[in-house]
Amino acid sequence: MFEVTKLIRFAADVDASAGKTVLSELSADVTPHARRVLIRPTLPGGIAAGDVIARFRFDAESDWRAAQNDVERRLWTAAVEHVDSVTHTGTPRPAKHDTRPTVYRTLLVAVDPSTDPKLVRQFESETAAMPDYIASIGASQLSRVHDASGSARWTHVWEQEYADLDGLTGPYMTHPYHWAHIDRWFDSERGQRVVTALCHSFCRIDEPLLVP
Amino acid sequence: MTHTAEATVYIVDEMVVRPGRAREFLSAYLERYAPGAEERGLTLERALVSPPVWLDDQSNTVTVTWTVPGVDAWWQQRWAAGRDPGVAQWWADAEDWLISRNRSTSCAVEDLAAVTGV
Repeated sequence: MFEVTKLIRFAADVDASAGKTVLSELSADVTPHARRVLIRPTLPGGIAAGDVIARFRFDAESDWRAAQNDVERRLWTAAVEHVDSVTHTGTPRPAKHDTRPTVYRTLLVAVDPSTDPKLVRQFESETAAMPDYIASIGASQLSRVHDASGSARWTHVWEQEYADLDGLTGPYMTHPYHWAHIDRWFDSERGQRVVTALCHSFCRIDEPLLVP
Repeated sequence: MTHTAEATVYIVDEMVVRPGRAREFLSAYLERYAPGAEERGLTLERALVSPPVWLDDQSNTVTVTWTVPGVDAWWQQRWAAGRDPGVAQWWADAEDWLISRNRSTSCAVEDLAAVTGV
């Protein structure tokens, strides 16, 4: 599988119908090539979240390359102010419970390129282990980024599904594995920060995204 | 019973200071960093110096312990510090005094069940 995630921010003065047209055309461009297409408005409360999450899954990178020019051209319009974009390949980690997910969250992070590779691997393994401690996390996937564009040189994508929004805003945030442990990779006050930028974005979903 | 939001969170800065500069550094920490930290909701519990004598040609380790009243307050101070360029500037300036530093975040053992929701 080959995946593409784009966080799309519309221009402030764009009206709703113009934005809807862009997204409709985007869907038409990519759907013939993709196994799975998600284009959804973001929920409030994110950080550099964009207005829309677009996540495409392809059987192979060549399928994305076949759609890429049309997609990039579609988003090269005055209606779209900014796009943070990554391509990535990951292996979904199944949920430990059968609860149907209704919320999808993606976190784009940029790890300082000068970071010791051993530390990068530690960051990755500790992050991927969050579902072992935080029960509200359903399926998840940590991926390294192949290609990145936007406001930073994105290096990783950390995706999760939740049964409801409370799972993300409640236990995910309040569990000490997050704030007292993982957050040290993000917090410049702790002297161990490796992450220099992030986008935190989430939206409603109707069916699971992070499936094998 | 202690609830998650009420468990005291301890924030401990352990800083190894370049030889002969610990007194000067701790003074700067308390004058330049501490007031802003207190505005962000941290309470200064103690500042320790090891060994408890100002060394001239060797390093002292300065350990400062702060508390915040619960997880919500922890996140509030975290986000406030992240938005304040003065905090980043302080830690950048502190590099001149320090050989190493580490901030740990912890709770009392009796609060572990509460904060993990177990």
